Formats: sequence, C-alpha cells, structure tokens
Amino acid sequence: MQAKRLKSAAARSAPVFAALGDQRRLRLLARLCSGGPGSITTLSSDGDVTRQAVTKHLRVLARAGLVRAVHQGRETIYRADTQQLHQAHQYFDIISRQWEEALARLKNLVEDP
Amino acid sequence: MTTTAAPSATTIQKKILIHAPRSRVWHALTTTSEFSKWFSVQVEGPFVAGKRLNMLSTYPHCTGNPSFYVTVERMEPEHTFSWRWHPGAANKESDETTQVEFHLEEVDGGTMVTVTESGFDRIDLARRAKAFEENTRGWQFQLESLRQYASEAA
Repeated sequence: MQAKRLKSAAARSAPVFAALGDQRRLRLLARLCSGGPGSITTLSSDGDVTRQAVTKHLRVLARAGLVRAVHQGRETIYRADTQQLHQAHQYFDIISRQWEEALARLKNLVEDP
Repeated sequence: MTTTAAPSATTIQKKILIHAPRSRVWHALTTTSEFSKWFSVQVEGPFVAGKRLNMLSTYPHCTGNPSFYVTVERMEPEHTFSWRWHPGAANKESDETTQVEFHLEEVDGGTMVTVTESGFDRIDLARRAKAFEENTRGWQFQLESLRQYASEAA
C-alpha cells in the first residue's frame, strides 16, 4: 500500500468505527446500502426517528466518509460510500487474523509437550 | 478455530478449543516466560492487575514502533485475563487503547479460550493493524495444519 494512501486511511479509520458504533447509524447506513440513495425526508419517513436525529446521524456518517451528500435542486440526497467501509473492514480482517495466529501458537505451545 | 458473530461492529472475537486442562492454559496465558513464546514478544516482570508492562514485539521484519505498553486490568485465576494496549501507536503514552480480554471455559475435551478485543472506535485502526503485519503467518498456519494432520493420522 502507498504510504500516502495508508496515512490518509489511518486518519479516517477511527471515525469510521466511531460512526459505526451506534445502532441507529448502522441501520441508516444499511438502508442506504440496500435501498439506494435517499433524502432526509425519505430516510425519516418510516417510523420513530425524527428528521433532526436523521440529520445528525447522517452528518456523523458523512464526516467519517461513509455517506456522501449530493445536492439536487432544493433537496440533499445521501448515498452510501462503501470505500471507507471496505478499507476499515480490511484492517479489521488483518487484526482478526493476527488473533487467530496468536491463539494457534498458544494451542501449539500448550498441547505439544 | 471459529469466528463468532461479534457483539458489536467494533469488536473482534475469536475462540479456540485447546486440548489441555484450564490450569495449564491459564499458566501459558499469564506466565510471562510462556506468554512471550506464543505471543512473540519480550516482556519483563509478572502480570499483575493494575500493573503496566512494556512489551517488545519479536516478530521478524516488524514494521513501525515494535515497543508498546500493556496495562493489566483483570486477573481472575483460570477465568479472565484482560489488558489495555495500543500497539503500533506513535505515542507510547497514548490513551487511545483497545481492551483485550481472554476468557477460559472448561468444556468437553479441554478448555475453550475466547479472546475479545474491543474499542476500535478509539484508536488509529491502520496503525493497530500494521503493528504485527509483517509476521510469520504462513509458517504458523502450515505448522498448525501439519500438527492437525499428524494427530489425525496417528
């Protein structure tokens, strides 16, 4: 990986996980991923979440680079940007694999006399 | 080795069944001389709850800053061992830590070890991931499969 790309990815990965550490934001992102782009009106139409809450959560997701806002006339349309998510997922996989290796070494040490 | 569904999006959890008594696993987990072998680090002094230890990664070709602090949190004999750390952090005094917790459970055929690392929303994930990146992964997997093959063939 290019050093420059790694550095910029590093600066963004912590906000990504902070943004994902909230169930309402996860649901919002999942909806944008599966249902396609939406406006604040459509995203707050089904149920118990207020426009203000949706606006706030979208802002956090946008800051983390997980959603992008596109202005269409008087409305703002939000869509999921999975590149950040993909990058964070790759780091998660690396750390996950490191734990698998460590546990395998622990197993070897304990089981082999 | 299994990967269970993580309790949240910011947690990694791994389990492994070890064919040995819980006391034996606890010893390998919490005795620094044994710990340093399987965890591939140099570490001084015993693990004591509340104590901070300096670890030096002994992974070959380890990139970045191979030295880091581990602050032991809980040590409940043969049950729970946990610490906070930030391997790969540029600033060794950083408070951007993740928590690592080992949980031991007696099961049929041995001991189930569960490791959970949480708090990734507080750290620089790229650095944490890179801290142990260059390692002997391929070899370890080969050795593990060889060991399994040998025990099945026996």
